[in-house]
Amino acid sequence: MKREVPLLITFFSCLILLLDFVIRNEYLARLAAAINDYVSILATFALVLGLASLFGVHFNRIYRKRENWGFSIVLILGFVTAVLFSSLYGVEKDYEVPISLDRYETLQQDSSASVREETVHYLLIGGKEVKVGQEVFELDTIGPEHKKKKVFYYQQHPNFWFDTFIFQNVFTPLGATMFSLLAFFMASAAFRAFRAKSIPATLLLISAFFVMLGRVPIGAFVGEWLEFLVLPIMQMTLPESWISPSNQWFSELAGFIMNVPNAAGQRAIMIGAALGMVAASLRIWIGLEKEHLGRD
Amino acid sequence: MLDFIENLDRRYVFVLIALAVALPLIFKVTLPMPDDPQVKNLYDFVENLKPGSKIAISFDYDPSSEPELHPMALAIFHHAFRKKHKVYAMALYPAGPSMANDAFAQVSPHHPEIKYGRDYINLGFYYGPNTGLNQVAVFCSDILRAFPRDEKKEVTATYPIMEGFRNLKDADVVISLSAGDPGVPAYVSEANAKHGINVAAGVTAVSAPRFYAYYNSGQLMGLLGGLGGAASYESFVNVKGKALQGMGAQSFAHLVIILLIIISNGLYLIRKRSEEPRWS
Repeated sequence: MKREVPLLITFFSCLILLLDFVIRNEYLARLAAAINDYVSILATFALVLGLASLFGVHFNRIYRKRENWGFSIVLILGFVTAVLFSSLYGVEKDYEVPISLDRYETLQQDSSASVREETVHYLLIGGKEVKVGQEVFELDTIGPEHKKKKVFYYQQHPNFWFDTFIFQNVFTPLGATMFSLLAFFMASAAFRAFRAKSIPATLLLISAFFVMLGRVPIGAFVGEWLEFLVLPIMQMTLPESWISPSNQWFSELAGFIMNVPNAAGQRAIMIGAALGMVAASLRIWIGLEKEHLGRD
Repeated sequence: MLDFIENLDRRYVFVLIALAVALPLIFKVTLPMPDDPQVKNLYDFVENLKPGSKIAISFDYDPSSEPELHPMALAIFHHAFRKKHKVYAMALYPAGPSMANDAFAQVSPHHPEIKYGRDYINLGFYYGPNTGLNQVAVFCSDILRAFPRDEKKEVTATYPIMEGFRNLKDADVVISLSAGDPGVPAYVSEANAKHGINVAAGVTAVSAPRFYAYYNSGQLMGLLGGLGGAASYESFVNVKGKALQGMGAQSFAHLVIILLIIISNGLYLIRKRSEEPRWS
């Protein structure tokens, strides 16, 4: 049973998702949507496991003072700070605090204060108040004895700690810096390793040359200079119909490389990977592959 | 001398790249962009839509990709608002809604007639497993299920912009500005392949080659690749944004890298020739 039940769940879940892809049916679509929701819930558990593992690894590194253990302290502090401030103030540009009607009316006079009111509707079912949304029920059709509404007032404050400090002043510049460093390391690696040592390497080098020039505006200027030098020779040696003076030929050549050889290669990789994925999925679906169920 | 250049300290390379990037930015060197047919396709499509058409933009990136993808968002916002289209922002990345907020904050002063909730809405982030397929599946069946409340925590269905927009099938085009997964592949697989929705993509330069296959097969009706794609869209829309400024810097950085490659290969050939046995 330990193996059969998960295998049956896997089989029917996959079957519903597959049928939903090929058959337009409202009931199937709802079932598929429910399965998708379960996947999200399961992924959340995986997230908790991942976080526990992350903390375990980094606490261990700090405890044993392994190489670069200082970075682990930064990671944990960064994580705790972000979680703390996002839990306290939320992740939006502003956070809200509930206020009384008196305070709401006072603050409305102050142009610098940002306040809002929210009306929440309730249905009275069996003496209990059940919160509903205006978008779900036609409230106008329900008698006043079965419904109730409450008005809540909120004051909005700028979310300095999470939005301004952590997101805009720390996370954004650090993220941009990480990405920018790529240019420096790429240039250094190209200088050291990008050599015409074999025919494939030479082809790659030539393609890179044309794509790098063709994808930037300066390619047009380089094209013009080359044309100035090469055009007279071409006019002397080639038939006139073959020559089309254009400073865009680096760009056109780069476009050709991206659209033809590159796209063909990428398509081959993607189709290969997709076929592999189909084979692996089929094995899981019909129960030939049981690794994901554990070993015992 | 040959040994010195061959074993050049990488810090010299870093300085050269820093100068190639910084000087054009300091002196504001802008160069005319060559036309990019993949970008023009998307531009023409948005340009020819009737006023009031619905454009969904998925902000599937975070600040690390902001320099490349944010200018695309700004240029598309300018274009859409100029043409009086309705724009729906959503995100598969947790930081996506903040990026959308920032883009709207930068663009809205240029379009004072645009009103939140009527012409534009930021629906927020919808959580799901990494591939993004599940999220896009929900967007395609019932957008209000994914976003019962918008980024401002108001009930989404009460906004006038949501009238006639119940799922992504109601959008004239979905543009995924994507830094990786989840992003474009999910929209292509679910929104385009399954529902036939027009999908376009704005991606980082590093990942752009992967998406030419989707563009050539017609699964993507437009493709903006890296800063060049953003600059191309800016020049079509006639907006002098950060991408066009950045292309000057990128041009000189590319030139420096090409020169470095030529030098290193020249040295390699000289070294190889000198090491070859001479038959005399």
